[in-house]
Amino acid sequence: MHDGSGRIVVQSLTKQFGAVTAVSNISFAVEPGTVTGFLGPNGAGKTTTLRSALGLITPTAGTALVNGVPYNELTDPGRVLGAVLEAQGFHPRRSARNHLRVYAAAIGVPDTRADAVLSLVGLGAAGNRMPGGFSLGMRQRLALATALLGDPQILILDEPANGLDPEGVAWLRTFLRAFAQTGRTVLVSSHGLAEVEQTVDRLIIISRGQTVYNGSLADLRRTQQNKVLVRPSDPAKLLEAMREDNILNVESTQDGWLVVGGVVSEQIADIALRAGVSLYDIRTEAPNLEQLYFALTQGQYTPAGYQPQVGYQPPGYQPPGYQQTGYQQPVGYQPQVGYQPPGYQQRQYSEPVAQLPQQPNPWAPQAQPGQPGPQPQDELPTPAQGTPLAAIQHEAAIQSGTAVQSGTAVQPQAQPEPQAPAGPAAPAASAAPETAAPEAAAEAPQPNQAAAPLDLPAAPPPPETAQQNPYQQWAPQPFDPTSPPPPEQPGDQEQGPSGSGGDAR
Amino acid sequence: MTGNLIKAEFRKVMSTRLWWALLIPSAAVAFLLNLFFTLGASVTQSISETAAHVPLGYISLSESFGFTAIFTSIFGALGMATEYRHRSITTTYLTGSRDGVFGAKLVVYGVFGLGYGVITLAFATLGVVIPGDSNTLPNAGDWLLLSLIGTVIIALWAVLGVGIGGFISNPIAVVLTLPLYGILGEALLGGFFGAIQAPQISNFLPVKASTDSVTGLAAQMFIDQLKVPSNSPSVDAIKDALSAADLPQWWVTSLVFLAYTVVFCLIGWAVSRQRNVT
Repeated sequence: MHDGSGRIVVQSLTKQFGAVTAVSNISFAVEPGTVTGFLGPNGAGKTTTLRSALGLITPTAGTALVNGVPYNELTDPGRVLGAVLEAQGFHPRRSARNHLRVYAAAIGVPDTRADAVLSLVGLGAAGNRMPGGFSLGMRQRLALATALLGDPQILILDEPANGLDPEGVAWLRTFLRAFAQTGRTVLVSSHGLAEVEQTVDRLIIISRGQTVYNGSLADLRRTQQNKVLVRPSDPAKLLEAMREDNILNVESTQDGWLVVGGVVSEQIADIALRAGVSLYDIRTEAPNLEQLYFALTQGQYTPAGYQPQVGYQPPGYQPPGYQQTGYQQPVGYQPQVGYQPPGYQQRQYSEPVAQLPQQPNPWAPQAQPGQPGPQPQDELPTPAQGTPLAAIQHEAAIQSGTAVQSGTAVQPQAQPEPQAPAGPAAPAASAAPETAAPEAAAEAPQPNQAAAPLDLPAAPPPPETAQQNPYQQWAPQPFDPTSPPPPEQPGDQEQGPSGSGGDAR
Repeated sequence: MTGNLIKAEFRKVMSTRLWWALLIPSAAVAFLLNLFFTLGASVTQSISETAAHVPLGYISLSESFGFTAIFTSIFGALGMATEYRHRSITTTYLTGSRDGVFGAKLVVYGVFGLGYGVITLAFATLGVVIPGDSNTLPNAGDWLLLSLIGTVIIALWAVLGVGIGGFISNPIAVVLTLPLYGILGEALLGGFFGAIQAPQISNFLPVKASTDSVTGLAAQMFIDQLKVPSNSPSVDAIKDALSAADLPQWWVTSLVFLAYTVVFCLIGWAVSRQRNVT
């Protein structure tokens, strides 16, 4: 019998598939009452770890316990733990409702539960449709509905946001938080920190099959220090002056910028004044977790000397000689800013931009726990974010002949949460969230063109609207009126053109 | 707990088309085979003064079980293999223990196999009754016994299919392998055993053991109906014509087939409970 603790404990877990070591000696614990993020790049071993914890894979060594016992020894597994492991797992010709009824029977809950979870995830009107005709997002919802059938104490989700439209992502975040606040356990994996940054309390980061960070998100933030970026009239002189003040953590770029770690901008300004150097530009970057995350996880499947940030760009995007412009960020990289609009849930588009200067970015994570290997960021084109940098980048792009791209390039995942997840009040607008891709792409905030998205009209219903009618049902709802509190309804908190929810797939 | 899993498996079967998509051709083949056989026989008998009216229904009924077995075994094997194919096996194993799931499948597919047996037998009998006359059908007692044995063997084929699906988890491989073996593989094996002077062994191969359990008994019943003295040379001639010469007793082959079913199920159970679901 299990202990009902809601804990997941993984100890020294190792799994080898033939010669490939998918997971090497991973240990961590997931506590109830929290949302724990489980992060790592593709191939880091996330899925293998999760599947081992669920008894789907037999580990080569080590143990994974759920509520104190191996998963396979749980007597009522479906009531203890629900898992969304992939947006598959449905017979394409078994209707969504029948699929849920099958597993409701297996778990031993009444059939009414199937309809309850269907409407909970917004598929109420799609119950009689075949999952074979579902979009990826709808499959994710159905997988989540299946996981929730047994009203489980623990929820495990493997990359649940894949394919979800922005409303779905927003709802999922709220839902997971509410779920955890009732004292239950949530473990959610992702390959991107930004995707879960607003959801999780704790983080487990793995890379190359090993744990590289295990702790709270707040602690991770504290490991970072500010960076000051300055463009002086005479870099060498300023460098010398700083050296006299024992400020040695300085990197210079080819186009005349200095990047100073562990200082505040006032210090640099004062030093420059004393040294008689003009400052053409100065700005502070606060820690950027995404960068830290890259630093922690980079290296896997990349040749030596490869710069992980490059991977963020669309293939072929980077023109030859692009990096020679020095201190700049890869064009395709930048829209990441939109990825973490700090107050996304309650704010409008312009907010991320307003926040940008405070969204600093250390592109040199330092003193990282478990930092694997050297920190190669010194020579990297900085992925730093910030409006001023965007200007630089723009300028650099012009120099390198990429002006057009720099102006229009929008990272596909740039804006997971545009405005107004349409609540029940806006059914027409929410008619086809996942088909509104073009609008969503257009709305994705481009940090250096902040005003543009706000001018966009509400997304007109795409042609496929009729087919997507089930989504009209999509509205955040309380998971279970008796236990978890109803999640907030983001739609109530946002304004702006509602119903432009789109999926920038 | 196990009851829940059985209910779940039952719903799985009923909520997709596979069960009737395989049952319909199975029943159709049984019906048509008996229909044409009986039609052909009555034509022969009507033009031949010498031919007595004999109960050929024994022969055609028993032969049609072999075809039903192929459909039923595919049905059982796909019950397991499609879960891997569509990856629903993940959810299945997350909501029930592997042993429980496998056991529930054995029960549910066994029950459906009985249904396959009963329904195809009904259509097969119809195929004999429609064109035939009162002499064509077996007598009631024999018909009941043949039906009982045949239906149980059909059900065992469904169960054996689940076992096969436990280790051949690819539905396409299942659909190809089972008929190929049934039609071709066993004939080749029989030839091989004949070549090494051990033709008796082929009587104990799975398909032959299962079909002989019915056809061998039916042939004996048929000969009994002809009221020929058992030492008459024509008995051997008839048995040869029906490929029923030198067969082991029907209950021997039935037990052999039961053993095959158990073995395949054990293999399928052992493989599927160890397999990593990735």
